[in-house]
Amino acid sequence: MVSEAISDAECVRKLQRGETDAFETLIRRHQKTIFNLAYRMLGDYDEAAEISQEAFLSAYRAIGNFRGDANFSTWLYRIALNHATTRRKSLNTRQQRSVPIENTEPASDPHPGPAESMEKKEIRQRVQQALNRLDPEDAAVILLRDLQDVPYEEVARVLEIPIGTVKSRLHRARQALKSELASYFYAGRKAV
Amino acid sequence: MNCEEVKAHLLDYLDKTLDTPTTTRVATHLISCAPCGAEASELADCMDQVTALPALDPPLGFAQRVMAHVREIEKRPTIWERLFMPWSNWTKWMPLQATALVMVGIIGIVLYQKDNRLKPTEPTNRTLSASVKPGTPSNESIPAVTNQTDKKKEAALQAPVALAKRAEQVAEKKQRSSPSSEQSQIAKREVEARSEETKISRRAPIQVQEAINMREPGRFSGEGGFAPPMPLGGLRQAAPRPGTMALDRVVPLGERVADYEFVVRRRPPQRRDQVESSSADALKKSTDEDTASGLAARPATPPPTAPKIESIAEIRFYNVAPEHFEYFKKELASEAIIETEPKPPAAKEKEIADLDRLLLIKVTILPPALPEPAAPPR
Repeated sequence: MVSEAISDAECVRKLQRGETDAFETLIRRHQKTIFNLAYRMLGDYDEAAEISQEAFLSAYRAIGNFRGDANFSTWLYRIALNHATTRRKSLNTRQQRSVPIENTEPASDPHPGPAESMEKKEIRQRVQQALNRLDPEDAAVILLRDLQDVPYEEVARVLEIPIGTVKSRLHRARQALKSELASYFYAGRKAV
Repeated sequence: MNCEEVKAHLLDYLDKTLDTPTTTRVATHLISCAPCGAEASELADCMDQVTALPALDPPLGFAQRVMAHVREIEKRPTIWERLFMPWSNWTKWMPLQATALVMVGIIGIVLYQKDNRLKPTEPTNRTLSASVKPGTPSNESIPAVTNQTDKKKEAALQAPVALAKRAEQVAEKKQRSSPSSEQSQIAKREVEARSEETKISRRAPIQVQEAINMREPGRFSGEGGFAPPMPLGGLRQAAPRPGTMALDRVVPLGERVADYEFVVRRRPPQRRDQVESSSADALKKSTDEDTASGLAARPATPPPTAPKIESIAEIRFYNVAPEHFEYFKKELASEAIIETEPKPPAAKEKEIADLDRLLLIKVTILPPALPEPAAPPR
């Protein structure tokens, strides 16, 4: 087992030298981020697990081509988003997407009341539904910037677009998300 | 700052990346402008909702599962290795390859044997030919007789083979030391064995198939010049003696239609000269006795005994060159009584004359006719 203290770059170098165990360190370090990104892109737990696994395996196969110009996480984000986008498109063609009714959404408050817990869960499901209805590119930019708090520069590198394009796309994506959530969150407000 | 300018800076304002003076101006506008304030509020709310989405844990053992797949990929040979180093793991595949090779071999042998079984037999006759030394008497080489059972075709086909083998052994012995007494003993044994087989099979008619090629080298070019072909002498014999035979081809009876068919009858066992000499001796003896004892009572003549019928009929096939046909017919007439002589139509005769092959002649040999009861001597 490679020490957890070493950087991603060092792990990548070891992996490129043939030390396969270094990859396990990278998996443990990034699995949660990648899995959550995939889950929010797809809205399905099992699909997210499968896509995350495929993303890590693709990264392992292509590790020889990784030159280290960008962060490993950036590179890994790009791979995961590509897999998730492809899967999301194929799922969209197969069926009308809907948020799976499952108890995968964790409670943020450890001791919430029943009514509060139900309301929060419903809000999360609504948000997830809205994300699912967005274009994959819009959803990706929102998730990277707002959910993962990835800096604009890195988002630009992940999406391989200029920073200005990232900003305009993010603004457009937020407007689209607001429109999706308007009927639920702001109906009463507009009526007032 | 107007609404358009605020909208331009709204993203940075919400991200809190604007400088302080710009942030103050945007905030002042948002307080004073209700629509801009509402939109900013709603966008901020959306961002908060997304940010508030909880982080889920990946499935348990996710890393181990991915690493297991990674180790599988690591073990698997790459396309390059598979293409250019196919023998790198040959030991793993060797049992499979060896089994496949053995299976292919077995299938090949089976197919080969099956193919041989399906091959049609050659149309030409298998010749049971006795090798005859040129110039030797015709009774030295005698056609072999084969018993054929109709029920067991294979046995019938194998019988000539066995006989041929036996005859070869006999011929070898004959070549080593060829006293005529040994030959006759061997022939006697063969006849006995054959008669036993006949008794066992209890089949009365014995069909004999024999084809003799008169074009065989040495047949007609001996010391004595144009020596007669061997088989005709055997017509007189009740049971043929074995000769040196070479089994070339055996074809079931009836496969070829004979060009000529003769029906002949064997002559009585005793030849005329022997009969004449014996009768002359008997006459002389009786004359002596008459002179010695006067007119004594003559001994009663023994009643005539019916000749033993060795076989009902015998069919032989001969391969004769067209130019030797007349000679063959003459020889046949000298050896046996021709009862039926073929008279093919003129067209067929011409067709036969134009043949480029040997004539196939079928000779049906009938047993000798019963001698008429001799008149009592006076």
